[in-house]
Amino acid sequence: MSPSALLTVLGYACLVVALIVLQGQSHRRDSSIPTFSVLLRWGMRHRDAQLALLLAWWWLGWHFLLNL
Amino acid sequence: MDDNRGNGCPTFVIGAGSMQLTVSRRVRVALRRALHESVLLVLVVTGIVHVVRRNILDVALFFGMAALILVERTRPPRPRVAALPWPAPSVVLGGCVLFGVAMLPLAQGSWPMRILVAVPGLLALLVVLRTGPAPALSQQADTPGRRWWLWVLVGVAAGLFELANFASQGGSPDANPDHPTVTAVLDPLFADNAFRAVFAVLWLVAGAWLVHAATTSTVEVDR
Repeated sequence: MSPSALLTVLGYACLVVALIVLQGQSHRRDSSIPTFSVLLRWGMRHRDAQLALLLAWWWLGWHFLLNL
Repeated sequence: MDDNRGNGCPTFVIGAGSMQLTVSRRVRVALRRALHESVLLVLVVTGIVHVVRRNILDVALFFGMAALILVERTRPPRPRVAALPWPAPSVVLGGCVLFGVAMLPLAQGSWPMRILVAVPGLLALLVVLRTGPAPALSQQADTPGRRWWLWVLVGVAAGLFELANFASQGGSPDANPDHPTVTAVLDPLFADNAFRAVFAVLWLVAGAWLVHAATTSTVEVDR
């Protein structure tokens, strides 16, 4: 793996770590950060977001499981 | 300026006494509206990315969903249909595990696998469309927590990073190994049947949760 590729993968890893840290912080007492599930539920009060999230979920499965 | 009031948005106070005008509410409303409107924009941009990828199905899916959202917007308000009875969590989890087991012996991209993945998506869409939109929004529950935007920040950063790496490929999936996309990084893992089966279980659990949340969402927020 080239140094550039390694840096790119590290970039993805940093984003994943950021998500884990946010979720961890959101579970602390009196946290002002909502948990991911609360955020999703909040977003899904909008019809647009309901349908878009549903598509995003399904597409992830289709794309990765089938490699299409 | 007080950045701790409201929902984490900066508050500007203009004037004095009863003439005071807080801009924080306007900022909040504008930000929320921008996020709301960005759903269509994201779908269209993603659709364009799939045009570059020359994937007809994905193009149809993303532009089709954008069209469906526009159609839903034009429909007159209607009462929400009662959600279908939801099985116990253990039953849902058991079903998801069975789904993963059924996936285990299937070759990646085979027709049985395509059908197995397509069916939950279609069912989920039908259930959500049948139930209808959530009730009208309450002003009190307009944000779930002061720092909700941190999630959006990371999400946008991830989207832009992936888009930049995708753009560097010049339209061909693996043309630039120096800047791999998420797909290029994860593909070797998905070549393994066991990994695919575990992912399939988690994917279906997430889908079940999404459908449950979409069909039971109300103006109330959990916290």
